[in-house]
Amino acid sequence: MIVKGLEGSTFFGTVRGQCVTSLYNNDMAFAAFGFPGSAWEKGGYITRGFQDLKWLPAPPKEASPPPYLG
Amino acid sequence: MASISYNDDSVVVIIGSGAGGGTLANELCQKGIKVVVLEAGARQSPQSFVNDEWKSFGQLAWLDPRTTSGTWRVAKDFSGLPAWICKTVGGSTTHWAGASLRFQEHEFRAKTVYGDIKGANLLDWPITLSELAPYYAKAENKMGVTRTNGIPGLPGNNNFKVMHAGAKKMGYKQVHTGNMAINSQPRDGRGRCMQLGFCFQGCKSGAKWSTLYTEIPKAEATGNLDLRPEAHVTRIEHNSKGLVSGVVYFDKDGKEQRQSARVVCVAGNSIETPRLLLLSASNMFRDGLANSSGQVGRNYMRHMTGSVYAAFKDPVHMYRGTTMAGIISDESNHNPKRGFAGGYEMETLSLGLAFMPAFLDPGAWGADYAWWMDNYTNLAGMWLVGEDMPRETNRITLNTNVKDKWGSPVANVHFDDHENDIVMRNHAFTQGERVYQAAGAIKTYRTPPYPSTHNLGTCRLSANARDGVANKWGQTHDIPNLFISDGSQFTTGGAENPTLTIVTLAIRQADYIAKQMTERAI
Repeated sequence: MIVKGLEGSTFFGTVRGQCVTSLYNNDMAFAAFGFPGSAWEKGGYITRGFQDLKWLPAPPKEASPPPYLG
Repeated sequence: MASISYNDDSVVVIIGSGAGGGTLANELCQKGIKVVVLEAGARQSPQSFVNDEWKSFGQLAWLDPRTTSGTWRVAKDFSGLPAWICKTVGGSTTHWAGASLRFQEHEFRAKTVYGDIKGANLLDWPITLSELAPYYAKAENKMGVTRTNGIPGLPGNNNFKVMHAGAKKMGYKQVHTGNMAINSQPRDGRGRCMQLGFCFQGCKSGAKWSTLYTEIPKAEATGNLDLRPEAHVTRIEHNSKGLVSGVVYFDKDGKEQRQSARVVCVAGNSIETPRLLLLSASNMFRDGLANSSGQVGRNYMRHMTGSVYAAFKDPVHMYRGTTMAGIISDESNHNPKRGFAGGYEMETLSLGLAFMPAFLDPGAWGADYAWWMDNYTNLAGMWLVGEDMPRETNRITLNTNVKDKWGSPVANVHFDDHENDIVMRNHAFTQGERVYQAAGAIKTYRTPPYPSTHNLGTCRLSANARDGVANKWGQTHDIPNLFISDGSQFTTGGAENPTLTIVTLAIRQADYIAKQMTERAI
């Protein structure tokens, strides 16, 4: 209730903005929320599950052609 | 790399090295014309790009001060950041997602087809689709656009699977992995897409087309290009005959320089290009260069935009792979029965964990908002991009109260949604939510427009000099050796992502400039 009362103030905005970047923009947060971060050094996701979702049907190949793997 | 003398007045000077400036530079260099490119940003590379959202933003984005005004929400939530575009060699082609769609035929005739819409400043382009078609084909080949030139479409990621499943259930028919300037197989000396998922942060594999590692090196190889990064232009000069004669800029050491020019082409994107023309006002051109119409800076468009995110019971991992992994085009036609003019595209989108809390709902907080972060791996997302109305009051002006580090007034971006934009956005939000509900979403979220990544129209093309700034070639009506070479040219915005059309116009403009120079008309 106290915090709700501060909503809209410049102070609130500054603190919220800082929290948003410091709470979520770090490796510990990434791990906690399931975001693996940098991908290029691992070869991206082309062989690491970028299409691995199974709980919906795969689109036909006209809509989504297979990846080129060499 | 050529080293062109400051006093060489036989050269073409191009301001900006992005989709417009970079392409124009290469096209002219291939024809044997000497070109100086002045780029405000530094030169990065796939090696220096970073897979980190905030660090990359600091590396590539235009962060010099700008101000905002108007009723658009960006003015409240991001008052100093009207646009997310770039200040770097390659411009916004380093950051873009790669979507490469041609405009539709009727979109070049928006005023004729949509009629007179009150509060909008609609105008037909002075070019038709059939005139541009051969140049669109050249651009698609140059950029390696999938589903053209025998190039296979890209494979769709999980985010696209969700979009496709929902779209099919709803009866949408035009659903696929898009026309993308991203290699699905090796092409043009660049590898194929590794599905890194950091397209917006510069492509570290080089699979996505960017002038930085295509047009610029090809131009350098001709020996006709002198590219000067960290060159911040402050003024375009003209002579007593009213022809532009040179460009004043601060070089990477902070020293003021003047480069003479036979022709000047402005490609600083749609905020800095009109700002530069206004900053170059003189006794002869009191309202700024090429501004007899008063339209310089006006008709600023940012496309109707918004996003829909959806949460599901099961993981999606939307961050794996290309950011713009697929498209639904069924709503892109003009169908006034929906209650608005023009159409919109629905394109997948993903944000990483760093950007999601900042942009999901700017200013939001609390338990509901935190729930979305908790469910990050189970989210899918799409971006809605449609035609917004040009308005004379949506404009770039000089803010004389705020100066940049060079002492020049900064650009102010004023924007108010037109009623047509609002009705279209609400329709698009509803349809986006329905797609995800059809795929099994447990919750959906309507995200308001971000700082604009599509910025258009502020030096528009027109048949008559009173209605716009430049003719069908991008040659300004008032000054024959001054050209507009970026998305500022767009007479209207269409529903499509603009980059392919910007590249197309640049290829065509190069032919025209070369011909004019040969004939000594300029």
